[in-house]
Amino acid sequence: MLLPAPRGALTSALLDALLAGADAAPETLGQLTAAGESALAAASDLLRDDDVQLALFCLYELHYSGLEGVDPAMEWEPELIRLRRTLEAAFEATLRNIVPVPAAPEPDAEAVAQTLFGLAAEDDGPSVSRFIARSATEDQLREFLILRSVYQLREADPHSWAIPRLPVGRAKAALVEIQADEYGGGRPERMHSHLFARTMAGLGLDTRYGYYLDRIPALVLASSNAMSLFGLNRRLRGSIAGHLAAFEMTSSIPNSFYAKGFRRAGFGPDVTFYFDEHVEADAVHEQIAARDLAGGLAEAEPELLPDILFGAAAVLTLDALQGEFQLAAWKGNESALRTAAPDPHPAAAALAADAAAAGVSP
Amino acid sequence: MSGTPAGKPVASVEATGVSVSATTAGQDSAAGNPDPVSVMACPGGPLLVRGDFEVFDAEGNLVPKNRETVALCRCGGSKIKPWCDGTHKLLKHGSATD
Repeated sequence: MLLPAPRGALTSALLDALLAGADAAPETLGQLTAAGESALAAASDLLRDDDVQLALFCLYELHYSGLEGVDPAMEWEPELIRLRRTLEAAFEATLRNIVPVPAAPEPDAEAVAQTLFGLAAEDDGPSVSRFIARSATEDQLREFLILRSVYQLREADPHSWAIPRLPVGRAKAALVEIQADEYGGGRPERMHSHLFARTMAGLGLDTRYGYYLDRIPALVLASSNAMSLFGLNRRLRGSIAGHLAAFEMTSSIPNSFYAKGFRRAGFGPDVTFYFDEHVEADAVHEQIAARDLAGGLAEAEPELLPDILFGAAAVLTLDALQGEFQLAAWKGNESALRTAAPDPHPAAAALAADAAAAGVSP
Repeated sequence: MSGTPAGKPVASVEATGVSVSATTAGQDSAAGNPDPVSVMACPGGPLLVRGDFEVFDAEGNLVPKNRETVALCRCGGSKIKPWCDGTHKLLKHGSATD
């Protein structure tokens, strides 16, 4: 991932430590957790705290594609893991506090599926999809893609963490069945992340991961961080399964609206294919995810049922918060993106200069 | 594209007129075939079809499919028939038959 600009004292210290890598002074690394604790103490709203959410996002990124210019060995640096756990504990506590979780049914696959479908059906969060379909301007469509790109350019990856963490049986088979489809069924040109990049390119956007990160609000990073939190902690495997189920259940109908919006703005099949594909794919996936993945897991490990429901409900809560904020911005003719950072990290500027000198366009 | 389904019919949907036929390879689980066709009627939702099968429309034309496992519309409300697009969730009674 391209290196972001810091958003406060914590991310400033963290990015410095990451870039120093093996050369980082032990005391620099040792002070990170204290910096994390200070940032948490100062945060009035953790989900919207830029410094904390970006720090968590960068720490998780070490486990995905890494950060440009950062030694891959930093993935398992104990002080970074310690900082991550400190931030994660506060983040998880916040989510558990604000996410309303429905009463658990019997740990029976069909009962779990019906509870999840009921939860998704009751969701009356603000409709970004209807706004996109009816009234979004081309600039707003572009902002919509930039905001979605944090997840969609690596679509399916956070849920793949769950594969080795699920027991042999129905739930694991279901997850792999869904993921195989997400990753194109063996055809790279049909990978959903690739299709999303094609859509972005169709609107003239840069598709390199992290290119727009400095413009991404904390709340959007929080949604992505929730997936990594659930995916990277084995004890939360129920939540990542529930997360995927709710994600799929709130996808096919909104995607038909997104497709409508981009067609209304004059874009062709190269741009809308991603959305059209999701209408069909996610109508399949939601059935598998609800019954076989979430339901199958509840039957195999009934003690995970509360977390399955928590993971599902977290999707709806975070989506509603994001939708509310995006619609408020767009309806007020304002940007839903952060203002571009005035002071990119010096190392990012140096990397860009190196790239320019090497003839690579920034 | 058009033709007569070669394999054994395993399911049909009244609302859209499509039928599902097991391919020759997919029709006999008793004969040790590892990939028999399975059809799951999702309560209030589509038919979920897995295995080695082909889908034909009411006129007997083969409907090309884009994925291994498909969801067939049962409520008749889908805009991408014969596939499900989740529209049953917006209808009061979901799919008519369970």
